[in-house]
Amino acid sequence: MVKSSLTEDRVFNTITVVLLAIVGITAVFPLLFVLSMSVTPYAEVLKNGGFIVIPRSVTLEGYRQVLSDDHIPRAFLVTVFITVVGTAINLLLSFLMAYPLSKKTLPGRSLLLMMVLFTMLFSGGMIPTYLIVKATGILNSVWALIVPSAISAFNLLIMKSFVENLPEELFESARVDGAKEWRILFQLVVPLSVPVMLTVGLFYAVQHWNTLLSAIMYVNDRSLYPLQVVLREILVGAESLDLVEAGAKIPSETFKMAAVIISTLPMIIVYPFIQKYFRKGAMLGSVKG
Amino acid sequence: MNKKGIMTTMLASAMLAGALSACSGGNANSNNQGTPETSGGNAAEPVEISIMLQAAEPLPDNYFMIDELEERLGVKLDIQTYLPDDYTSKINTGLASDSATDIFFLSDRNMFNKLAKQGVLFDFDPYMDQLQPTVDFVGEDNLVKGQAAGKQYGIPQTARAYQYSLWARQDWLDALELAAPTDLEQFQEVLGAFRNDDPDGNGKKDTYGYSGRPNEALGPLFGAFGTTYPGYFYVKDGALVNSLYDPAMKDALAYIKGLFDADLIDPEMLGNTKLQHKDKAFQGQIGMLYFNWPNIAREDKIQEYKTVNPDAEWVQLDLPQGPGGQYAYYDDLGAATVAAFPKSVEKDPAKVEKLIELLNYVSSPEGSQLVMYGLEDVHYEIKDGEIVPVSDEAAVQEAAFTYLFQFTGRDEMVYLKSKFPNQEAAYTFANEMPLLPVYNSFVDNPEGYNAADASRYMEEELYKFLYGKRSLDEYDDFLNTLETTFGYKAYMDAAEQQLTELGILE
Repeated sequence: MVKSSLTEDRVFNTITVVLLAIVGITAVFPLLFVLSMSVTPYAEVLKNGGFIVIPRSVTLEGYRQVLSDDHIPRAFLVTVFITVVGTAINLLLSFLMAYPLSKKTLPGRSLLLMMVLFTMLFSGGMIPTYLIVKATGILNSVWALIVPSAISAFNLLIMKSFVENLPEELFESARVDGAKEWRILFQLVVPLSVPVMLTVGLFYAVQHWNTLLSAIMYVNDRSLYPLQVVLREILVGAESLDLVEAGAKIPSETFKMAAVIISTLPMIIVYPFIQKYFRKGAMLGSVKG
Repeated sequence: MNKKGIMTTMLASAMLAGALSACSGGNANSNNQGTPETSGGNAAEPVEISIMLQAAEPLPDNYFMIDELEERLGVKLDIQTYLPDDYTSKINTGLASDSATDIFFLSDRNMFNKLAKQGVLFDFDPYMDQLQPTVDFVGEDNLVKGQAAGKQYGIPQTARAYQYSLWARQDWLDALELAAPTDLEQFQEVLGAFRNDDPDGNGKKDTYGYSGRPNEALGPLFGAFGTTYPGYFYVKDGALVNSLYDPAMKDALAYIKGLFDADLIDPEMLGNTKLQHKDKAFQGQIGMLYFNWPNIAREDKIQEYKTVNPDAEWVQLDLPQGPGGQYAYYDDLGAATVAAFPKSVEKDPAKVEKLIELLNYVSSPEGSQLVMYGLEDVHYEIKDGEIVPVSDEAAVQEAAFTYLFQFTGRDEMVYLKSKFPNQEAAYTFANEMPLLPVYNSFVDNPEGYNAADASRYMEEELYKFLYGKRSLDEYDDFLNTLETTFGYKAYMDAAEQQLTELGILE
């Protein structure tokens, strides 16, 4: 009996490991492919039928081109700026709204929540939104990439349910000790909400890092283009013109893939550091109560 | 503590934002400074002109052409470039919010008609006298391409040379001891040999006869039957014919289906939306290709396929002769990229004057030379009366972007000759491809006819016929559905009537 359950365990474990390994490989494989393409000369790629997994000859030419490119380093700075500042604004505003909404005693709470929920389901559409951004006077500035998306309804609700689940007794004892509302907020609620802050912060940061459409719509000044816009131009640009302009320079595959790596790397690096909070934050918000 | 932290972050971000905007502001200023000085006696404030361009890649920073045009015309230019995918939505939001650029370009006739009907485009009619130099440059006959409802809402650019032709692996033909095909029968034989007789000698059946983009590659085959892709209007024996209803269409479909049935055509052809077919061809999987010369004949491209296989040799082939003659593709006579202004510029006569001056300038011998080649002795030299690029590679690269400023087009053959002296044979060959003249762009869609839906249906059914998913016996049923469900009958009637009114049909 014991023996057979051990074999069962072993079979189960083997299957689990194999399955997870397959899932892991399918996740890593595209990354590896892009990485290999970015360091292999394009002629070499073509020789191998356009498919390289382990590079045989290595060139850093693609990276040299990316880093000496007119647009990519500046776009990188813009993206870092909107990610850092944007996320800070997101967290501040979202939290300042999530906290009061988490209080069941707030007058008109359900109406406010309805209004928040409404924006999750319906939006004004492209042109009306554009008109609002224009009327606000932030068109063609980095603020057009930050302000219109300052609060995401979804993230707000995650924060709200997290704060809702903090024990009410804590606040009461703080009040008994004579703490005022602001002090409760900043010295009690905020420190306790670090996991959800980091989780939601990561959501926001990734969203900012991937800013694409709003930049295309609201920004005309090329020097304010974030990374993804420039990256897309590199990746699909030369191929999207119907009649290829005879003089147009077509970026090499190596250059394209190097650009992909450079623009993805920061997020890949940040992920593992936030991941532990990420799990904790998502769990705490949903289960505890 | 936390409060302080947040305040610091906000302060820091505000400072950073300031630094960023100062940065871009600084650029604009330095551009600005050059203008008043050099334009000398011109009015104090240069007129600001914004232009939206479709570009595959961004302009380099501080591009010389902008400075040059600003200086020569006493204007301040704001050049915005977008990918074709974004361009349309930028125009739409721009016009809807009254913030469109002063010049933009429309290459989709349906969109041009729609905007003209909405009354958001500038009417050039009162200014045609002033635009005479531009009109001379683009050609009086061409003007009709920029007209809607009898009014001149756009200035068409000169036509570009046709770039596509049949390309084949000469070394494969040699290895199989085959001659270049001249008729449809030989064409099929050659494709068959490319597929079945192991042209690359690797002992594997891993090659295909033919590939290209789905909306281009079949052009020469339809052309051999004297027709073209479904849904195009042309004149045959003095009568207006839509290729859908041309009896030759069924014959062409039957022939092309034969090629698909024999598995001679790249099985992934429908997925070739970008450069996949070229890559496959360069990798030695395809024997014949219908594609444009810049992607095959430019030195960098030759080097690309030579690296894969030093013996590879791509040559241009004549079109196969069929019962309906030889056509490579169709040529939509009414289609052109047109330059348009938003109606709102009417309020600013000084600006209108400058805009017209700009169009006239890039159409003048001096201006046209500038936007074609750049600056003399910087980007090009004149040797024996001919314009040749300078030997400095960086300067040639810089001049590669001048095409964006050819607002009214260019003298194509002269331009290509000086920019691509080594590819002359290739582009001359492609430009001489016989094209079937079609009139679709002259037809304004009738109310209720959804062109996008109808053409999607046509395309889907076309490939169902070719891949044998639907029997050709059902062709008439297909037409019937198209006429009734998709309103094609109304479109046909409208086309007949409009083309007669325009004097294309007697």
